[in-house]
Amino acid sequence: MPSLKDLRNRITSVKSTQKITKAMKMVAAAKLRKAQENAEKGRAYSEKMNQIINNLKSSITDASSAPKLLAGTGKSDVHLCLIMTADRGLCGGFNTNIVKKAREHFNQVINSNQKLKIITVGSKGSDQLRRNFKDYIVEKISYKNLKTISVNEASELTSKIITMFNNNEFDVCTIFYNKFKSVISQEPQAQQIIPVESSDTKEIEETNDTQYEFEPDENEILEHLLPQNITTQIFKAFLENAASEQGSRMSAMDNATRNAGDLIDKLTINYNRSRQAVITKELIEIISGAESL
Amino acid sequence: MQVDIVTPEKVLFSEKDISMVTIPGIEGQMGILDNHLPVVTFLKPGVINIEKSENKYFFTTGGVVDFKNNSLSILCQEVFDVKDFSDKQINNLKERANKKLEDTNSTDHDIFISNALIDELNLLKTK
Repeated sequence: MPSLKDLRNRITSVKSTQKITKAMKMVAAAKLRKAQENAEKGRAYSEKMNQIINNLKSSITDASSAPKLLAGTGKSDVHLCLIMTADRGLCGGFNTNIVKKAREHFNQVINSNQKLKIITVGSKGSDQLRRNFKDYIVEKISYKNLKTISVNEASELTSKIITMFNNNEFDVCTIFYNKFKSVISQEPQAQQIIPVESSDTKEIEETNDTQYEFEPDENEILEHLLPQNITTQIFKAFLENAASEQGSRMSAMDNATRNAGDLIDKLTINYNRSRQAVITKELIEIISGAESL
Repeated sequence: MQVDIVTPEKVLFSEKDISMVTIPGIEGQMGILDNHLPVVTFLKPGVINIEKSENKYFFTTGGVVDFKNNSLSILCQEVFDVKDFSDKQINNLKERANKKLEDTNSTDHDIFISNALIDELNLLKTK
């Protein structure tokens, strides 16, 4: 049985924890609004970009002359995976979900005797993957010192990837990130960016009826557009991730605050009960002392 | 026609019933009127001019244009409203272009774009 003082100490400590989680929740909520806005604003660009790429893709008849970034190298021997996670913890299952999704993919790649290369973006992902996949990690990138991630970071990352691709260091590139659906639900995504995944047939049918005029010709446009498309996709992933992180943190901290409240209630009842027990005990002692006289 | 200017960060401009837009296409200036043929082209650095009661000018460092179903989408990495284009931004862009020019790894395309960027920025200043 803990003493009264112990209980009192525990209550104050839980209370201060609750204060912290509450504050974190508020901060996450404020940041979430901004991040969500950014993610929604950014979607327009990536959607339009996808449309254009699809249009171009459907108008290319000879696949062999298409740029490699679009059609791929024809092999799938070396996989490059880009794991995008947060730099901070305390955000529920956010990082773990991405890593879990990525792990499944890694095991699949390894089991089919293909080579694996990993680039981690954000320190939490590399921390979690270090144990099992240390030898595969080729690069760790962290934007811990930056307040917001801009297009520049995305295009830096892209040029890194494209240089690797041109040096034949990998055949397939996939990015892993969380897609922001709502505050309480984020979906880990695996998106293949090189070669460009064929989109669903419905979209292609739609775009096929318009005959386009290209200036300069299709291949030249594609050659310049594809790297831009990769930047766009990576940047979109950054934005979605940022919104997901804040959403996830907000709900995690909300839960923590509620749990702390429950714990305080329980501890207070316990405290009152033992206080009463002490009083009763003292009374009994006094009464029985008086009786014996 | 519907005109949208979109950057990765936001939608900068979106309006209906625009009669004409002039864009700096990679193979020369292009005027796009209502009901133009569907077209996809690149932009080189330059000024996008949107004609309406009060003309709007945007400066872009390059991008892609897609015209379809009487709707024009201009996708740019960077675009600035000429009205509030600061000297600092101009100098930053110039610096970046000069760096590209000095870099021996730059491709012909990079050099062409960087030169065009500097020329256009100088033109802008004299206006």
